[in-house]
Amino acid sequence: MSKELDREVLKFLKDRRVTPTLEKMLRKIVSSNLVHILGRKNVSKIFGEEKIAVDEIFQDVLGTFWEKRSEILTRNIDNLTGYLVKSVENKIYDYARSRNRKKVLSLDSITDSKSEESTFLDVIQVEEEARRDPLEQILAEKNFEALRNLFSGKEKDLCDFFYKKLFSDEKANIFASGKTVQARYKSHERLAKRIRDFVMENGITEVEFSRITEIYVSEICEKIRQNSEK
Amino acid sequence: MGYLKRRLEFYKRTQKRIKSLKEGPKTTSIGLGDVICVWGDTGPIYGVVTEEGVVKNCILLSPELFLAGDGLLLRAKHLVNLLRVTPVNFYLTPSAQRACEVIGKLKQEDLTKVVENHQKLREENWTGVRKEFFEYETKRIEILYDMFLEFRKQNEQSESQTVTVRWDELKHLFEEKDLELIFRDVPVAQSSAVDLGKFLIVRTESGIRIIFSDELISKTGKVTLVGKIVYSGRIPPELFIAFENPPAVETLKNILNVDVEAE
Repeated sequence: MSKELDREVLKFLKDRRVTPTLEKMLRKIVSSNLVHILGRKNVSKIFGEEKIAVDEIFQDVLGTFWEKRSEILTRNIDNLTGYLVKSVENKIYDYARSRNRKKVLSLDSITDSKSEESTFLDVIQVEEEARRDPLEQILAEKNFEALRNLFSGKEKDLCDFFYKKLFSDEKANIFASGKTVQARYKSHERLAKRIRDFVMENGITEVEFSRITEIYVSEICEKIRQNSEK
Repeated sequence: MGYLKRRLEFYKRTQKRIKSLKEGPKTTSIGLGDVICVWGDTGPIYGVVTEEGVVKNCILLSPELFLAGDGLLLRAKHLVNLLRVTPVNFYLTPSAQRACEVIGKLKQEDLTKVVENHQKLREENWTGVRKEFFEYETKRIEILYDMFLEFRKQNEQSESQTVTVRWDELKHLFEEKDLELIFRDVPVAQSSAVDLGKFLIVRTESGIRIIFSDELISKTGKVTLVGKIVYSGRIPPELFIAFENPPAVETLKNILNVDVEAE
């Protein structure tokens, strides 16, 4: 596939002709990357419809390559698939970030998209703005899914552990299901080890892990707690 | 398999190791704070120049925003729009610079932030997928490290072709009258080099370079100054005499000699 795609992109850069083959292949790459990077749920949340997202990114990527055609052609770059995939992926990240950000900012009516777009550099202070960065949120949701699958069937135990660490023993009691102190202690020890392994294997940072915990508490533990109270 | 692990597998399939760099028609001048794209055969390498010199030190910027950790984000206007600061660095040799395109420049204050962030990321204990990603990136751009090592090797070889002697260690050989000859006053307008056929004398701020012709190199001989031997043995491609205040070449051309033994 990549050899054919290379040929089609080169044809486009030389003749400015988007062949049906190029269109089909590039749209497929955009579409699969959208799902792969963001997940279907996020794609519809951010773009409304998957087709709109594919159209926008497809046009954007071709436009960018057209702008860089002289660099590509004079350097005789014939293996273009690597460049193309990288460009598609990065545009998806950027769309996800800017779309979501505009949505958040427009609620507060403090957006200044013109000045934001005109500056070359956009250094984002991780400490100050990480919470508002949609990419961090998307990644946290993905990691949350992985954590949920890993602890499937152990939700109550994990909530007991999180509530004990985050709040207090009293608040955690609702998840303990009458376990003895010793049984609870042993269970927490096992959970702590599995969580540590999960964090280490995935190379998750401290900030990322606290976000995953926040989602777990609100999506899983809160529901269990509300059901228990009923 | 976790999300990041799947993402890494996908990344490895689409971003292959770079085997050659794609040079442009002209060499671009690259300076401190420049954000660059090195055009590779299988994909781009993005970076920012943090130290100038013949070889430039750069911080790797990654367009893979999830795997590259939580470094600062930079906005770019290229095939990609966003780049993340990583804990990885690389070197740009003069020949690698021919494959570079400058795509932007950081202001000094932003460059400082990026360098500090890079240092912080280096001190972090990366594990699992993130660690594997940074290791893969280092492998992917290995060509740049190889070019740097090759450049250093060549440089060391050419350095070893120069024999250096210090005037401080030689001056005891000379009497007062010799010194008057060597450090004789000369007219202000003097040239910094003179070609005597068998060798070339070049005056620099820190000393005198004697560059020997090919016919003398490797032969056994001696270099004399006012008849006193300053070097003897195998004639190297270059002899450097380190002076605090080097004498004028106009003076040296009459008192410096090279004699080689007959074969």
